[in-house]
Amino acid sequence: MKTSDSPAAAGLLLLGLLAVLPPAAARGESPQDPPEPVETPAPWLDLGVDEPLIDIERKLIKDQIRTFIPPLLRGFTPMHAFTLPPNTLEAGLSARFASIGGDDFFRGGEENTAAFGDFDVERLFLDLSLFYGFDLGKKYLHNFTAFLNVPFLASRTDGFLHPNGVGLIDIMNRASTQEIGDVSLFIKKKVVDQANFPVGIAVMGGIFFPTGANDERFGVDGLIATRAPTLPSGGPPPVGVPLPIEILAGLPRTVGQFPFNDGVFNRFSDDGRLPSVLQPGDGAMSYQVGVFLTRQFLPGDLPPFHRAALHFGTTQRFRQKADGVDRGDLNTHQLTFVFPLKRDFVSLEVGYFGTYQSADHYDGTFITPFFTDAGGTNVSSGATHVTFKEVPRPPFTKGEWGNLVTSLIVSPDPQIRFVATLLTRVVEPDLGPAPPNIFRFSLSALF
Amino acid sequence: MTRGIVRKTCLALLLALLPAGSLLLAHTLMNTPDGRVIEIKEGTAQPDLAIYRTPLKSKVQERRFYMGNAQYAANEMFFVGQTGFTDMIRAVFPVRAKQAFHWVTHQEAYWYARLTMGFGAATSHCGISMIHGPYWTVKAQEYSRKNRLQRDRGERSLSNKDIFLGFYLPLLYKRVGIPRVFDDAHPVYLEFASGMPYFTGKMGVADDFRDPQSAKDGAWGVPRYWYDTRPFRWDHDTMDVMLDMGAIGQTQKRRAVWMAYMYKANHIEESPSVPGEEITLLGNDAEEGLRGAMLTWMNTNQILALKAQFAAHPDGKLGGINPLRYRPEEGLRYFPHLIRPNLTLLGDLPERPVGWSVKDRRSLLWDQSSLLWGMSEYFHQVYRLPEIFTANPPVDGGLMEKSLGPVVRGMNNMIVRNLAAMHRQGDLLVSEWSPETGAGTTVTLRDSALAILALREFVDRYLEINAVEALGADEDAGIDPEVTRLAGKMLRAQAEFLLAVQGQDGSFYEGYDVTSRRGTGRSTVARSQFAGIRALLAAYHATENEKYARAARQTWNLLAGSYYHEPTGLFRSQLGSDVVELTPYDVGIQLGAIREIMFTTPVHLIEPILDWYPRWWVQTVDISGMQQSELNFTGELFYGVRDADFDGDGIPFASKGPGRHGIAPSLAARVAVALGGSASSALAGLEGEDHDPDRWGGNVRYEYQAGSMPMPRLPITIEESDELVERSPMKRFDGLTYPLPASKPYHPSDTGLTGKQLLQRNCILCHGWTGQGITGLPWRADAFERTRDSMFEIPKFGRASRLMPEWGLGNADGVGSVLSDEEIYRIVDFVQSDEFKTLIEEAEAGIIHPQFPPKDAYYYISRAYLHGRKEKATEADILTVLEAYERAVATNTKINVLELLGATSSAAGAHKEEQTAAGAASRR
Repeated sequence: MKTSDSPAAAGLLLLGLLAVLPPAAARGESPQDPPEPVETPAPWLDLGVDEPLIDIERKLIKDQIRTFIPPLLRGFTPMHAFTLPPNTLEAGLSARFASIGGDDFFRGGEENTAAFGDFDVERLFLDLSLFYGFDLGKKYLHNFTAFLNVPFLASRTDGFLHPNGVGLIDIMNRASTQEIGDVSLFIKKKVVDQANFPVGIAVMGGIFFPTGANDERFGVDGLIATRAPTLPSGGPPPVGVPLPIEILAGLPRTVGQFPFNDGVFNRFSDDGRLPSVLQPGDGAMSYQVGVFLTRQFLPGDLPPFHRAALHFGTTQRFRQKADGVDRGDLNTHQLTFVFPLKRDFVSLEVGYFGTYQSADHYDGTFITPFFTDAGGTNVSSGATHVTFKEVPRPPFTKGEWGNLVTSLIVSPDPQIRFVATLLTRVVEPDLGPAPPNIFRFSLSALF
Repeated sequence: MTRGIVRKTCLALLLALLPAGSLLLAHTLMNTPDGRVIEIKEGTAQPDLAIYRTPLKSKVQERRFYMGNAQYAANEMFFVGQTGFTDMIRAVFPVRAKQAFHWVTHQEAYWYARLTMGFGAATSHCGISMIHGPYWTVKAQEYSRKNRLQRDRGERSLSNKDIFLGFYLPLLYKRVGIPRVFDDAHPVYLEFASGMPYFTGKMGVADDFRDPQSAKDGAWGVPRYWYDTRPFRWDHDTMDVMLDMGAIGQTQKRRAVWMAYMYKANHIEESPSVPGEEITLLGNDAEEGLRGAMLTWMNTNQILALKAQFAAHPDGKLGGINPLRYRPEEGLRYFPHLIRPNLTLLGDLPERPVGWSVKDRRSLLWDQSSLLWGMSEYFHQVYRLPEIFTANPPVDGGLMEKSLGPVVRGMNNMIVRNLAAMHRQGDLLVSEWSPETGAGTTVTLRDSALAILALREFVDRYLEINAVEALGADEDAGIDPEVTRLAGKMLRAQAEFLLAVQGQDGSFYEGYDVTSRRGTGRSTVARSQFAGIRALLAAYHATENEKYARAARQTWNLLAGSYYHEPTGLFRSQLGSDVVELTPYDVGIQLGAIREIMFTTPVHLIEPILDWYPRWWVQTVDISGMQQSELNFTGELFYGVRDADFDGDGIPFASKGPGRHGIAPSLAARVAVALGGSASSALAGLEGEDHDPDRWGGNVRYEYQAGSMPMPRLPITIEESDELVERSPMKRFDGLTYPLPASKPYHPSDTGLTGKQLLQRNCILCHGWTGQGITGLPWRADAFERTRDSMFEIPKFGRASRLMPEWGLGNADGVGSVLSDEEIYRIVDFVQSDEFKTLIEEAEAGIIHPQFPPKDAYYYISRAYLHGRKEKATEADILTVLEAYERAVATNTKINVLELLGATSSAAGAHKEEQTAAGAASRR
């Protein structure tokens, strides 16, 4: 017999009363006639028979714990072993700002100010990221997160550069671009949870689609100018013939008047493209795989930290040649430690984030000046003659670029997360640009 | 029919006593954040055990905690603990004045067993947290559905955590009186197979726990670790997270027996809701009420997980099943040996399962028997604890639905049916079934013994009067007669088989091929002999056929003659080897066999066993290195603050034991002991950590006189004699009825012991040297308020609801009782004498008496708060109590410790305030 027309409401009322009153036994009252049982479902005998209990559990997990990823235990990258619960969407927006000055270009591990002394590049990256957790409900096919990343790149270039350190050749570039980069899609799969093994392990694989341009050129949509040499006989300088250094005097200042225009601006391609590292896209599909390890520390595991996590991750991006340019494979690796500053609200991440860029490769040759008399490559070394030579195109970027990571993670609600990150360069690459600092800010929300 | 009458009488007696059971247990006083004072058990001091000790050369070879073996040993220990001890008094074991026997059973076995459960399956995190259990999942769904009207559309449903923390725990606090739950304890419902029991943090013994909810900062009256159990976590990386069905069954048994213990009485304390009002609360005391609820929830979740997820098809696919509808002939479903959980760690909660897979598809007899043993016990509790299992909890005051009974009943039926369908060759049980090859052909003694034990338990539980009445079954046929008969048939066949294969000398092989009836393995291994005894006596209990008892005594004598090594007090593991290997299973099976032999031995023949038993225990468990640590309850009254081994028993306080932060009070996995000098070199060649009981600085004394305590042999057949008195069957604490052998009447000769001597040799372990109560009640009311005859009735007739033994009644048959009426009156007269009244008052005022062993440091510290001390206690305060005790002994003077601890109120009036605070003490 029901005690009320609305058993749910009656049950609620009774529970409410119980929350503030002790039970009959506790009040020391003599037991009265117990209330008639409310007809609540007691599915004990059939529990798990028609519908697997673990399926019910999995459905409830999303409701019970809105994120599988402890918001204050992961760092600024997704290079951790957590995955999202099924049917959960996380959207994030991040912005990175990097400023590369002339002394942030390297050659042979040293600053290459001879070539880039007056140069300055400011780049702003915006990434819109969508993460979606899913589960195929079969053995070995659990714990997936799909990850779609749409990057935008805005850059501003300003300053002079000196090909091969030839101080008398100034190429001034002032330009700005706003471009979409290569959209990428990844699948991440947790293969081992820390609950079953000392560390959690996830693997990842994905594709970069060639949605970003790879043919950005010097001066495109901007200003480019150079101080060009005086021509001895009105024609282009002969290749391989030493010429007096005075040939570099004279000041025509437009691109069109530059006598060996092709020679300078075709350093990386016949059509004068920027080096690949400065291109928004690869121009071809590329593939990336990665493995991520996370060790969470629970309260008591690692005094004085309450909870903390150590993340190690590495990814390898395999790039294909496009338009005669091979950007070189890229390895990214990171080791960071995240620990709370204020429990449940604020964490700090510290660690190392680095990339290893295999040397990029540009097909073909180009003409470039060399100083032969004194054996040097710079006029300041006492050279008296310059020789124009046709040489294979050299690589532009190569080597390990390493940064210290410091992130402040704020999560006012478990489903909202702000991360402010400062990357400070500690390892300089062999070749190419490497900003001394990168500022990053991100916001993500879970739905 | 006779059995039914006995059961009904016992039930009526129990029910009559339950409401009268008021009750406080003990005597550290805890100050709650809401201003109440509740009472917590304290530690006690042990008698001098030096005469039982001999130095041993031993090595601890492995400290790992294997859940199955450890919990099996603890199950056997439980039944010689406080409950078993009470049964022994009822059975009229002549334990009068045998303080060492009291200590090693009532205290050590009890606490070691209890702590094995608490530290092994709650604070350790060695398993899947109960909060993820199916019971809470169902409740989360149910409550979310019910509450939908009150909540916004689209709002998420309630989680298991919401239900447990938000609904059930607050309710529980009010029903048992505890103010909050232990910090970081995660009772588990599915135990992992093993883990390393080292603590991972520093165990806090100062009184400085800060409660984040109430902001109460210390000055609780209990050490920090009482609430902050975080240091007791084990390293997750060392755990084998596999789910072993045998281990799960053993822990099911563990919890089910403790449920009954924890809820054997109610207690009266100040209402958590209405200040100043004293009410009856659930459980023996606030702490045990809480623990009892946890145990109930853990077991329920485990059983639901088994039935809803772990019923495997032979192809290894797991799923749920309605066990009441299950018939093996319609397709086998069973509980496979090993299941691997796919777990995930989600940050703010312990690991939770997101999938399962079968790792070992075999069905093992040990596993199925363990499950049957455990779930039969739980089935019994569903009907034994009507205050806990109710029709509509929590609305009607219960904790769990009585409707869970059919689940357990169905699970037991399923296992019995599977034993018949999968584990038999002919009529005989075999150890293993596999999907590929079906039933094997061999059975080990170990498996056989547990199977007989479980089947006996199943049959008797299904005849249990409470359940029979609750289910409206036929009293004589029991519940589900068809399955009960099937179980009985298997039990008898197996028992007959053991009789048939027993060697002429009483020996058993490690196993047998049931088709050829030939032995397998060796016939010279001790654990098989003990298993044989355990099995035969279970058959004796089930059938009351004396032939099984005779066969068991024959094996007993074989052990006494060939295996027992008198100089060390140990049993050889194997004949011909001088190196003994001890495991928790060995401790458990030896203990179980010895205990049941005692219960099967006429009273007039038991005494030599009682005198020998402490020798066996002290050497096997304490000195060998098996017991790795202990707490205040078994002698470390000063929490290791200065001395790691204050009581000098060779066992350190938990935080001072092996490992960086100490080790859980548990049995080691493997210990090797050399029997004599010639075996020392063999021992030296073994891997392991040399064990030295003296390394803890406890000044362990060894004063065993060679040959003074031989293992007694028993007559195979009890000679018929006119002096023998037939005895009534006896209901033990576990609710089962056991036959008692005919005995000569026990008439304790008058030794001329005074009331004071009798009290100090029989009563003080529970009630304290000065009557403040430890696990027994305080004597203030007895001394100051009761009449002589009124007080006499309590030891005379006992108090079932409080485990107060029937010292003057026994089994109410012609054999008599442990103490005579005259002796009880002598004790009563002493308690009511001015000398003892003075002792009570002085002790309550905080005075240390140099002639008595010390009290637990927190006995005094908690009282200092009541008498004006404001600052929270530090380790230095514990040391103050210890040094005061030593000074009192050295100078033979009384010292008031409360004054030293900063109490400001008058010591003379102390007892009145205390009486107010602990009001329940004076009202029974």
